Parts: sequence; structure tokens; C-alpha cells
Amino acid sequence: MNPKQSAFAQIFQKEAIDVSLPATRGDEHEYLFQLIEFTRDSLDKQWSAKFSTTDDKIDALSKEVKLLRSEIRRLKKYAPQQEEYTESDRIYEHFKAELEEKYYGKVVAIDDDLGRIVGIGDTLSDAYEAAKEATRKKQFDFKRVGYRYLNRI
Amino acid sequence: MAHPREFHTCEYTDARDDRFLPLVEVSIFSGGSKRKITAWADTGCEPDLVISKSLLQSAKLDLTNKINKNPQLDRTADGREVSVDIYEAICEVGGEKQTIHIHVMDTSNPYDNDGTTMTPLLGLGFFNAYDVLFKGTHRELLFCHPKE
Repeated sequence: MNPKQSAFAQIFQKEAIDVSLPATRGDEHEYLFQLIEFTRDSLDKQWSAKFSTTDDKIDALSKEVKLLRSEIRRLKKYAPQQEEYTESDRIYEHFKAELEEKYYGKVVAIDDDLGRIVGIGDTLSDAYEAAKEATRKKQFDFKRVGYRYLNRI
Repeated sequence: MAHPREFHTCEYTDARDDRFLPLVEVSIFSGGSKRKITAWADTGCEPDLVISKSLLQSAKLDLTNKINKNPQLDRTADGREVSVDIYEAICEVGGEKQTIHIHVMDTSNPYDNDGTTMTPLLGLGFFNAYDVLFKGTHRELLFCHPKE
């Protein structure tokens, strides 16, 4: 008897079910089928004891589904936001080695249209001013060289 | 040695239970009007002013000059990483006007942790655009320009 058969036999013994153990591999399927039937029956008995009619069961299941749906909504609301890999990230990765060697800890402004670093400074303001001066544009992406985040708050 | 120039003094805000809080009123020029918000003074944060998205909405701040294209990542003091948008605006404290960068953080959607324990800064901002001298015995805050 393999471990699975042994476990099943224990369950059947516990529940006082008279099932002869399978002798061959073909019999194993029959054995599992009986086990499924048994489990379904016992669940049906539990539900029948709890709820007298099918409508009661439907009501109970509907409530459960409703609760699960609201739980999914709650979890989705507080689930960590997926960080999108932007064009600016790609540009930063491209220049990363050089930047980290020369400008570690400084802030860089990235113009994803031009595909390059357009401003470097000690602070966000410095990098922004340098980028504005260089491109005459007003929106950039910023990275602190060597860090995952831009500023500490 | 050059001394910092004081330009504004305000008293600690009297809270309940003999607690005095270093809060300052900051006026923000937005959309042609001036809105006041209350902020903790000189918290040690790197941005000039940090506010939450909910405060932005409740204070009806109409910030138009966004300087970032995609949401940026800031790290909070407890190690969380949150998404921020950065706006350039003019602020006024004690009659002094200055262009600052305001970080508006979306506390409901951090990048790395669940947002349930994050409070939206208790409805206050964090203001770090000036040096502040804390005169605790006098319960006064002295705002200074860092370089003169």
C-alpha cells in the first residue's frame, strides 16, 4: 500500500466506511472516485444540517460571494502599486555606470524625448534649473544617482 | 562669519494638554488665488514642502506647474516608498515670497507596502524651505534665510 492509499484508508477507517482497498492501479481510480463521492456526501450532509432548503443554501453562498468580492476590492485598493518601467528608467539604466562613478548622490533630470540626461545638480531644484536652461522644456523625470528614491520625506 | 537673517517669527501653536506644536501657516499662490495651509516647520525632509493628495484637494490648491512627467519615488521616514508628483509654486511666509517645489504624495498607493498604516500627514504639510530656529523657552519659531 502506497502512502496515499494508506492515508485514504485511515480516513475511511475513521469514518467507518467499508471500502476494500484497491489492488491494482486501475482500481485506484475507482477508489478515488469513491472517496470523492464520500466527501461530497459528507459535505451535503453538513450543508443539509445547516440549511433546510436549497434557497437557504443559495442565500448563504451568495452572501459568502458578496463578502469575498468586497474583500478582493479591499485588497486591490491597498495592493502595492506596480512600478512602471518608463523610458526615463531605460535611459538612466543606459548611463547608470558612468553616472554612479561621477555623480553619486546627485539628482539628474532626464528628458525621455531627447533620450538623454539634460540636467545634473545637488538638489532637485538645481537639476531642474539646469534642465530648463538646456532644453527650454518644463517637464522631466528625476533620479537620484545610486538611489531608488528621489528624496527623503 | 555671515549670520542668517531672520525675517519671520511665529508662536508655537497651543494644542491641548499643555502641548505646543511648531506649526506655521504657509500661503501658496495657486490658480490666481492665495490658499493657506498649516505645516510642521523644519521637519528635516528634503523637499521644500510635502503635502498629501487629500490635503491638496481639501485645501483646494490648484497647482498647475507640474515639473515631473511620470510619478516619482520618495522614501518616507519609516522606510516606505510612495509615489509623488512635484509642482513648482510660489509660497509666502511672513511676507517673504519664494519659489518652491511641492511634493504631493499619494498615500493611498505606496509602491512597496500596504497603505493601511500610512496616515495622510494628519492633514498638515511638512515645510522645509527656510532655516528655523526653535526658541522653546519663548515658544517661538524664527524663520531665517540660510545664506546672507
